[in-house]
Amino acid sequence: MQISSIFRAGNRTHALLSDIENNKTILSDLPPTLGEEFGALLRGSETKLGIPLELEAGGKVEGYGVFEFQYGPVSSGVPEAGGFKLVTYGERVLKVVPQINFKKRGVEQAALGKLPQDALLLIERSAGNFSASYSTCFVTAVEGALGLEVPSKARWTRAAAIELERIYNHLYVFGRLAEAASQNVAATQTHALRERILRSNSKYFGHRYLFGINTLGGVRYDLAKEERTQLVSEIRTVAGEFSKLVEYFLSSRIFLDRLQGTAKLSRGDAIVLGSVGPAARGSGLQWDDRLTYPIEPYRDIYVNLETESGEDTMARTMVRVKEIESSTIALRELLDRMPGDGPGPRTSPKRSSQDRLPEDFAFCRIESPSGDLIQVVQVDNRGRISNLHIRPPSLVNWLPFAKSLQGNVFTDFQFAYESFGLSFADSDR
Amino acid sequence: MTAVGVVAGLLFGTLVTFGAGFFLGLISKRAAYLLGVVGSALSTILSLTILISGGTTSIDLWKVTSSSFAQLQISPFNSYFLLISSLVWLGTCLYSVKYDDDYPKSLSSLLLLTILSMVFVLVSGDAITFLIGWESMTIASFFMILQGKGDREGVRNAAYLFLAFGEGSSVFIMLAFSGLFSAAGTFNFMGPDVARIISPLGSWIFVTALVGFGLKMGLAPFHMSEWLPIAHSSAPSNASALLSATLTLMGVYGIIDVVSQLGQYELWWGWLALTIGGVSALLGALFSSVSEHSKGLPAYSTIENNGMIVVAIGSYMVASYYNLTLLADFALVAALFHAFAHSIAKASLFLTNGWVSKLRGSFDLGSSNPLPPDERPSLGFTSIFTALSLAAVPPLAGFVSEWMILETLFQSFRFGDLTSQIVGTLVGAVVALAAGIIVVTMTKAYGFGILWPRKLATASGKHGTNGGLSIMGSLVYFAALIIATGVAAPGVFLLASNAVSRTLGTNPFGMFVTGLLGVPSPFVILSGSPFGGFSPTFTAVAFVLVLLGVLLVAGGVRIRPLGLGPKVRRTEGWFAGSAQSSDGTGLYNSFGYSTPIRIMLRFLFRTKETVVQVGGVQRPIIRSPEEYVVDLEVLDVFKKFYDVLARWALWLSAYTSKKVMPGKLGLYLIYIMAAFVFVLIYILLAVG
Repeated sequence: MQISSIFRAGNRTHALLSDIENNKTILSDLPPTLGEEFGALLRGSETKLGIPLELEAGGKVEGYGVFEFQYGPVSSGVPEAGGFKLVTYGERVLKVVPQINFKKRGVEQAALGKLPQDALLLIERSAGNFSASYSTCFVTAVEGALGLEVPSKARWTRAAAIELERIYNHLYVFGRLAEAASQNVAATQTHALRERILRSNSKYFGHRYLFGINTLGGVRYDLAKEERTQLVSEIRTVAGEFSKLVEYFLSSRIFLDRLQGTAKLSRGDAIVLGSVGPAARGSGLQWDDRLTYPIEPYRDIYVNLETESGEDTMARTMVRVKEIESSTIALRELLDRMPGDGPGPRTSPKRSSQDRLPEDFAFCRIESPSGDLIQVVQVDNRGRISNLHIRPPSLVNWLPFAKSLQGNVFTDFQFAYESFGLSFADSDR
Repeated sequence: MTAVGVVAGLLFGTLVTFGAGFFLGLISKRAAYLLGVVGSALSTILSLTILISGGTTSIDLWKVTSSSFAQLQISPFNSYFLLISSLVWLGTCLYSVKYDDDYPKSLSSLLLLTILSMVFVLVSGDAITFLIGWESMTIASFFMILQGKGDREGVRNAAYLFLAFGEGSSVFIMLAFSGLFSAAGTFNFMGPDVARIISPLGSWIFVTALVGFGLKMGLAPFHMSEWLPIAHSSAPSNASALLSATLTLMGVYGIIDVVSQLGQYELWWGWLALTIGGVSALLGALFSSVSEHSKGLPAYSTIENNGMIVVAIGSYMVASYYNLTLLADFALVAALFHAFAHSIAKASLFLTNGWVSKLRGSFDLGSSNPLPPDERPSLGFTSIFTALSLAAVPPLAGFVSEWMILETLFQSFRFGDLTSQIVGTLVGAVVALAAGIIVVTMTKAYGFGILWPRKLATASGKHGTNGGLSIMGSLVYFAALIIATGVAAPGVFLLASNAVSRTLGTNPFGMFVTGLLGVPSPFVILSGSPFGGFSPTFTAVAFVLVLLGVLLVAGGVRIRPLGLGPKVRRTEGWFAGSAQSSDGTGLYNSFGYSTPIRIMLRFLFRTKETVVQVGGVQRPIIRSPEEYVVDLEVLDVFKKFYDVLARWALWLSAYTSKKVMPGKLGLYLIYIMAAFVFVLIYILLAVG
């Protein structure tokens, strides 16, 4: 059993649990045994702006020569504003304490009191790389809360955008790993492939990072049959070229040496520390929201659950490599078999039914490129957001990342960091 | 004739001054040290006179055996070593005047007794006087180490270790001398003026001498992580400087002396010396780089430097075997030059670190106590030259000598057979590696010893004890000496050449020191004909000119009255984008600085990393132990060997004391009788 999220709705504190063994999502009251630091982590949305939050788990480390090395928030190698406290006696990483919230913008607080369509602009920009996942998650939850009917075609288009997002993010992670190993040809090739997908995004969805595709109750873009065929062929070409690149990668001993056995995260730790996404699947956890908490249309299409048992950076990388392939297949199915009804309303829904709004909340889980994204939304009877809780995937992956790096050396840092697909913008929101 | 009188007068003056200092030390420490300064000055004058004028003076004291005299002898060869030692003693005695404040009076007496014994070692013309000096030097040093501060048990162990290895060294030296005696027929074989000995016992003599003197120099495999670093670092700092800079120098003197007695070399002697030297240099450098003790670090570095000297001696022997006169001459001068450069810089490093440790209140380089801010500029200025010289940065003394040794090894392709060439090349690679590692070591010693951590130091504002004329005078003296030895390297080369001109049968100065490419005549040192060349003097001049140029051009010099000069803006250092903590957390420490070496070379260091879990608490969600204690430990292969040896020895002595000794009184008397009879028969047979 894994604690996925903790949130307040009404007067009660709820916990969302994932039953890994039985592929079930369970909603319950807050378990009394919950560790305090874990609670602080998941309730990260309640922290104030401008105060960094240290995610410390595990015991104190002492010994001759042991010191804390400050890495970040503004150091080379850390790509965003976020820090790490490395406990070490030189070279060997004895403990990592990620420091987040340097970039906190207070998205959740800012959204309160806004109309959902206004809040959507904020939500989809809070983590640019995961924009499609964020906006889809948000609108799905709001639509659930408002009881809106959404045309199937709109839902299928959203899923296609999410798969596109997954492919370009996985390519990005792979490129970053190649950069970390100084495999410059592989890195630039991969980034070029990613750029082609971003251009396809721009061509068919109007924005490189898929901003603005979703509206409440529908999507903005109605792709014609020939456009969809063209998009599929573009993405399949990219995926084909990438699989060739991966063949080269698998024959480069230098690259493999850096990944194999680096930053191991055991399956038990992955469960206990709440790891999600490709990182968890690299440790053998069989959890993918597309299969374990499927929203439409994932019930109707085939998605392969990609897992690896290696528990190391290599395993996490291979999960992503295989997911690029399976996402391409899923994307083809999504675009080929897209139902024929319209893309949904282009204007915001009328607020005719506001007096009949349910008091209850709605939540949505979406498998973003870095894993399980949860949003809980409550809309008040004036049709405004009264409660919003975002549980980003990066937030829960910090502790597994910190745990996996224990006992590794400094130069493994970059590989561990990139392979988890972590993003400070995502976790800080 | 007056010249001889002057020499004898100076020599006796030196001996009497040191001797008087020894007795005066029982009354007044300061007076004793000041006498030490005077004595050192006298012996400096004496040795310089002999080195420049040449010629040997021997003073026979009395007959020891039918063929030998107890003899004092002063030749250019031993006066070269006397010069190095005197220069070190002078600075050390000056330093001790102030440093010695909180040590008992006996330390000054013992220090001067050690110095006196060393003078005897150097000026003895016969093996008996040499051994008397050698023994009294060892024993005086033993009592000196006993005065060390800190953990009593540790200091006592260190002193006994020193004594054990010192006596072991004496035994082997006696064995070597017995071989020399049997070949020469007299004990008066010290010094280069004696005819060379060609003896079937040659290998015996060489190997026992190498082991005996090598023990004193702390060479591998006779030391490691054991006696020399422990003993030298446990002693009071002025004693440490004396031990590491001059006591090991006696070993160098002994080896070169014995080697120059032997008329014909075997090829494998050279290989042995090269290998032992190379291994010592590398291991010394490596262990030095991971040492956290502010005096253990220079002690290991002593092993590295002694290893380099033995490498040069080995090259000399191989080159002589193949009659490569030019290369052999250069190698021997290189060995002597390196002994000079190393002794001065090492004494300076020990004295600096001793004072720094006293101010910081800890011998731990990783200690969080900073140096008082008012002490930092002066100590930082004098010790930078020491650190740079030991790290072999041109144009300082250490660079010149290391360059000479490496140039010798570069020319190992001239050796006459493939094995020698391979050994020479491999040892060259190893020595170069050691020289590289020492740069890391010296960065660490200077960075964490003196500089670290600047901000905390200014914050604490603690005022230290002022070193005054004694400490600062001594350190400035050494800094000046280090610069002079580098900049005036041709001069030192001349002295070294004069010292070995008898041994080599020619004076190598003219062959190697010349002018080249517009640099005037006695300022370029060549390493072969033609091989490499280097002018320390002109490098120094160029360096100073460039420095001045940079200062002027970049506007580093402020000319206030003219309103010229750079804008100065002071700001806090960049600390990863956040504020630096005031208590020193988050700063890299000296242990962490060298941990990569410990981890990367774990096969050599036998590094053990252990994580001990203390008080594991099961938390409901995150199962994690409450606390870890981590430990990174460096072991040494040689230590294991000596541990086993020590266990056997302890077992044997326990067995003897329990089973043999407490026997019946009658039995014990029979032992004595048997021994007496045995000795009688032996004497009868021997005389007969």
